[in-house]
Amino acid sequence: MKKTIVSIMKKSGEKVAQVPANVRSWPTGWNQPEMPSALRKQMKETDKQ
Amino acid sequence: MIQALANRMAEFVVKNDDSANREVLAYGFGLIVSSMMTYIVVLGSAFILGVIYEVLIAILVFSVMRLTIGGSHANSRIVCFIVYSSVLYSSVFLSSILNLNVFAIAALYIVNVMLLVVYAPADTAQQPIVKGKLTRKVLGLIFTSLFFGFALLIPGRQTEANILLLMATFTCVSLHPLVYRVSGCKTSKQGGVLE
Repeated sequence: MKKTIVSIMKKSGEKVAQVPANVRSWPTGWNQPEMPSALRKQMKETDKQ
Repeated sequence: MIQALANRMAEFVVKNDDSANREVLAYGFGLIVSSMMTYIVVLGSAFILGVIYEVLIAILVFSVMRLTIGGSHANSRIVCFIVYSSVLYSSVFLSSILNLNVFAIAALYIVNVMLLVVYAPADTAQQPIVKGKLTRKVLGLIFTSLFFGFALLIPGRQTEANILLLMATFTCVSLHPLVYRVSGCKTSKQGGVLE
């Protein structure tokens, strides 16, 4: 049960975190200055391609 | 408070799964929790005030436009929440008293098209838009035209029509540099991200 909850939380947290990096916007989002370095790196790599 | 809760949720996952990235999860949970809280407050108050249907239309137009053309963002969660709720509710309440004729709608449409042509898509230094700028601009123009078209084609539904017009206009106005300056937000160009 705990494993399932952790797995669902992990998947949903990671997927939602990807949205601003992919869409470059979040309708209800404020101007988040602390975007994780992993996502910032991913955005830069996507832009280079 | 929101970030503390998001951090605790991320901590819980990381404790039980070594492969999880704490920083990314905390960021994702922060988005989930803040969005949920915003929608609970906005939709809850809309339900109590009996304007849930109108608020849902306003949210739909706002989301479609913002995801396509971007625009200025507030610099803190609380300011974002206040501005977002104010925009939604002002459009809903203004829509019930406004009676725009065809000429006013045409003038509003021209202003929106000009804003879209000149400024869309408008990004932020944190989330620069590098690719697909023309696609976003064209989509912004298509969605705006559709919302204005629907507004003209639904006779007897003045409130709904006005919500479409006002929300499309609010999102187009948020592209303007003056709005960026007032909100203290920087575009990727101003932030030196694209240099």
